[in-house]
Amino acid sequence: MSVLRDPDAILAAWLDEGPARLPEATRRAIAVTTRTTTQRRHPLWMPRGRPLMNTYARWAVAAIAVVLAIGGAAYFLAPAGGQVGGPPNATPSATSSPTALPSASAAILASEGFVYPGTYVPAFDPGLTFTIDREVQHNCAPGSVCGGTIDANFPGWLDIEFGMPRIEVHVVRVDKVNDPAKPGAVIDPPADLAAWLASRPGVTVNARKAVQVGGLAATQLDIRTGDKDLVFGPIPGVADPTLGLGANRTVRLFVVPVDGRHVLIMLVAEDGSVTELQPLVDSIVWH
Amino acid sequence: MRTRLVERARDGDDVAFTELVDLDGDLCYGIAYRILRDAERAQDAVQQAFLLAWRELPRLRDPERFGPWLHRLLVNACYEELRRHRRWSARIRALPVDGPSGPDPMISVDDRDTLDRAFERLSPEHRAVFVLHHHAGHPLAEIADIVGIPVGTVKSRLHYATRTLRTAIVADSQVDSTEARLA
Repeated sequence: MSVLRDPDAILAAWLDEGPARLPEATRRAIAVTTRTTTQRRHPLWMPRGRPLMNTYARWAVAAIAVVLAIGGAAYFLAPAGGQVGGPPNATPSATSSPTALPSASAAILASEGFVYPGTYVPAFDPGLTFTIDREVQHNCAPGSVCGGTIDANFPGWLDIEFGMPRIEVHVVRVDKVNDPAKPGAVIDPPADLAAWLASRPGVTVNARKAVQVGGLAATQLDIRTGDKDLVFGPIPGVADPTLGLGANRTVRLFVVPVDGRHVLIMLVAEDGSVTELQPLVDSIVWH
Repeated sequence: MRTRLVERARDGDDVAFTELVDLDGDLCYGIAYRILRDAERAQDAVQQAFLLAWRELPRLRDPERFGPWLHRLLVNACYEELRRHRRWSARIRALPVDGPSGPDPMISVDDRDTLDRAFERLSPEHRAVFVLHHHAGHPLAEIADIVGIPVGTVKSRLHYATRTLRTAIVADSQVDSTEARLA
């Protein structure tokens, strides 16, 4: 019998070797686990069965969606301090104002897909930039790339997720909240939105402190939700889902007043490891 | 058809999801086996990937992206398998698999051993890129999307992996020739 000596042919033949069909036992196991496993349905946001965003938002986001800076082989989150953001536990200033402008090289964030190391300008209004330049190690195999993906990039809502199971950062502008006294009605958010959120039914506040986010005075709340889902109110410009939190979740919230508007930043991790997302919050610059 | 199945599965239809497993299971298994070089661990990785896919499917916005998204879950599951089993698997070698795509009689035992050893020395990331391109036939841009790295990095990993494996065969051939002359 002759034996191949062409390296590429050998390589191709070697790669072709192997099983061709997934064993029946594995198929059955998948079928069983599928039947007995609940799908993860919007743990943060209560579905309403309507499209996620309206047509205007879709086109607006699509129009500006250009990724300019791509590079690196790992996902990074920004170290605290540096040119962007302020320390999370810095003393708030009553006269604080938006800080430095974003760097000229900041990339506009794509509407969906992977994020790469760099400084990004999302579609969010009020404007901000954030920087990703340190690896997120959440459940990543050593040396592997830990994917970060953009799940939502709208003027009223930014959602970026990392790792597996995912850890998430949501930035939401709160223009209205549900009226607790009148079901179905919305009202302007209270002046002390942090206190209002902390007083929602079932919410346990583990820590509350004054911090700075992007140089602006903010309130940090570490909370745990109760046995029932919470719906806070609508997300501006997004028909569905609405802003809320699932039951029994450990979440870190930042309430940041920006130019008279309320911005809510939510760090969510199924296993409670929200601190891995803190550097991204620290990297935020308002503009 | 596939898009419709994804939409149905996303809405909680487990029968539709089973059909997706039927459609994609073999390719996923082929990819996982070639990355892991172990049938049992490949089955575990495939099962883990499909379980995650089912669980996370409601969060997949674009059903058209189901394929690359599933392969991304699969590659991550393979990474996890490699990490989990790295310590003890170094001492255990999987036997070649029989069947329609079993050992190719045109490849010598020495070549197979040489390639197995060289492949084992590649990092999980190099293995994944190599298999996704040369076995699954994904274009480089799609691999970048699946693995979550820039296209340039895909190219360099692919080049490194291919060169490493090719070099191993060539080096092995030269050793064989030298030994033959000495004999």
